[in-house]
Amino acid sequence: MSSDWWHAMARWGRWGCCLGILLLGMLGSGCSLLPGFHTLPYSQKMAPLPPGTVCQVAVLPFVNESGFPLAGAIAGKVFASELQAEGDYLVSQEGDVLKVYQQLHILPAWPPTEEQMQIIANRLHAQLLITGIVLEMREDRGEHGTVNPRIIEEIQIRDGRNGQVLWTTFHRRQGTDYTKTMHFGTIHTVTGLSKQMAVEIINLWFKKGLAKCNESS
Amino acid sequence: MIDKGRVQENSQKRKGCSLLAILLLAVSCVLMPTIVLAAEPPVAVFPFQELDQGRNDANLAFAVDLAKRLAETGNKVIDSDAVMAFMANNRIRTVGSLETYRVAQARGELGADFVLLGTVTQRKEKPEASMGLALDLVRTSDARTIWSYCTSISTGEDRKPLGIGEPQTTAELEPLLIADVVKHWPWQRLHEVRQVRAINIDTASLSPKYVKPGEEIHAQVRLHASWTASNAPRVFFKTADHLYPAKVSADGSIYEGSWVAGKENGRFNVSLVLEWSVYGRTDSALLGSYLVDGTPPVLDVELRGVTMIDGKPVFSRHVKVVPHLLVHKILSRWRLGFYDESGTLVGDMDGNGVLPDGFIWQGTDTEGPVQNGNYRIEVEVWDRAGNEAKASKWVTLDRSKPQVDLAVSHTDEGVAVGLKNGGKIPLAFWRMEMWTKDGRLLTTTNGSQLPAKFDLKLAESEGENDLRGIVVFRDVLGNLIKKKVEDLIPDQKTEAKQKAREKAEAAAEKKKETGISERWVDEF
Repeated sequence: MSSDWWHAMARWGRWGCCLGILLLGMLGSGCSLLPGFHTLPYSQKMAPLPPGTVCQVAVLPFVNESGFPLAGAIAGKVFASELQAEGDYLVSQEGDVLKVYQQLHILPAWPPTEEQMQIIANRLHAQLLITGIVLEMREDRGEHGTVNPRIIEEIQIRDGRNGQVLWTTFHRRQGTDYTKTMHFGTIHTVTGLSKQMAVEIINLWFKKGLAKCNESS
Repeated sequence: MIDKGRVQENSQKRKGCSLLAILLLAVSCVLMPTIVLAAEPPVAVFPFQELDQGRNDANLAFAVDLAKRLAETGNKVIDSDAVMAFMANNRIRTVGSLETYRVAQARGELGADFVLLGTVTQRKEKPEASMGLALDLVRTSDARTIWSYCTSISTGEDRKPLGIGEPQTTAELEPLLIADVVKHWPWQRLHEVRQVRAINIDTASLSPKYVKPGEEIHAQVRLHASWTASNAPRVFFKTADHLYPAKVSADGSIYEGSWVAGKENGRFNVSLVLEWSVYGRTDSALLGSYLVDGTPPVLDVELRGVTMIDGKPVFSRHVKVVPHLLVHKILSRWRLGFYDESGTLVGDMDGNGVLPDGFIWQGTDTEGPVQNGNYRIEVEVWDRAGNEAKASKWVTLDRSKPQVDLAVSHTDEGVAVGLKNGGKIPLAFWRMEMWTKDGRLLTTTNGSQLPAKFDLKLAESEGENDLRGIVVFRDVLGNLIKKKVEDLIPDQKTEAKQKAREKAEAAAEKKKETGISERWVDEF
């Protein structure tokens, strides 16, 4: 073996080391390199939010168009829970929302009309209404007998005064999007993925100008 | 983690104590948090909703397990039997959520400062065991959710080195979920108090939703709340800046009111207004809205598939009736009717909602085809407020066959044949073929215009009685007729009938000769 060969190997070794670090970095950052990860959730403003502090919010039952049993109920529950937790809003009681649905003869699986939304918001004293559609909820098989959940959903912020859409947000994720290294970070439950997506959507709303409710108690 | 602050607080209060005593107290507080947290406000843990099987499934066992664990960690938890009795007494059939009114009831009847509502969002054993839980801690003083927590767990997310001690079933995941909830329990927010809202609507109705000006609207509301005579509010229905006093039922829970819609068209909101003049306080709740509409729909009817003859639409097979709403409006119902010249109804049909794009009438009633004549087709529509509009058109049904007039006259070289339309309906097409009795073709011609005349050459021995052929007429309505030439020439007509009779007699004779017995032959 000549010394040139050893020098070449050493040089390649350094390059290999750099490449390895880069690969580890990529693994560490995990899903951040996946296409579409940073572009989602995608939010579009149709109209400005009502002026002043927004505290009173009602989350209406999400519509399930996924075929997954009770996908709307799961995503809606989790979203309401995260909205309350993240923004400290005065989220209307689900029981009150369902009661108004009952009074207006609306089935929870069906979206109310704008006129009905206006009535719902007024009865619940809600400044904003949150509506959502679960377009896809699946539990695919992952590696080693695990579950890889997939969810596509669209969430709207509506004006309680007229039911019109103010902001609409589209989001799509699967459990493996959050894999960091090996199996770490992967989300295996539809509830966990719903929660993660809800947090991402709500944080995006905050970035785009939705203020948290300042009332602390 | 939760108790560190409390530990520090307590240790600061105990000035003058030795370091050892403080340390011992700190250790004892960490090991027995119940001593410090025993004065927590009472929490009622309601049975959890279980979304695994359906929207209305309940999970009592998990709720009881969590309640026990919360009690062990220092919370004052109301007995689950008392919670179940409260649900039974108040006929609460739903789990996972409560109305504001029920939350306030729980405060009064159970003495709960907080209610914990939960939903098991998922529970699966295969392919990997997984569970999800969403919790809401609701303060009963103002029915506000002060803490929401959502968590989930699966065997895939709780991997252990070499798989030792890894949970395999949901039963093994449950304690992990409970531990997670207890870890995040909102100790600091359990002492916040607020006031309840004034109006709690149980049921509300407003009818009708669409009215004409001057019609009456009726509203009825049932409230959860009731007041004593001294502090009862004045109750009104408010619409279009007018207040209409509500009548209260004997038990004080139902309020009713009626008023007449104004002349102005438009949508009007109706609110329930509660007024406590003594306190100078007014509260209101939107009940719904009604639409005043005094404008009838604007309707027109178009007839398609007809032919205009002498300025009148005529058809023979079918006519398409196309109604047009000239101004878009939502309809409640429609009706289509057919009347003859005397005004007698020939047939009709009706429906609710959207007016069909068109109707096809084949000139029939329930008993079959109707007679030729003039008919009035009428379309009526009603909008949601009951405003009516109608439009009608006359149409003529004519199924009569075209009349063929054929005239034959002698010429020097043979005959001249004249052909003309004997009916009123213009022809769309005609065709004539003629040949001699011996089969020599004389002419084949067609066209759309009549009258027409043809000179035909005949042999000396041939006359008009030797002419044979066929004439086809089809009018613009589609009515068709085919005629034999021999039937159209008077002399031949009688001759042809004679021949047909002879032919029939010959056929009957031949049949007899074949010896077919009219009696059944058993031996056959």
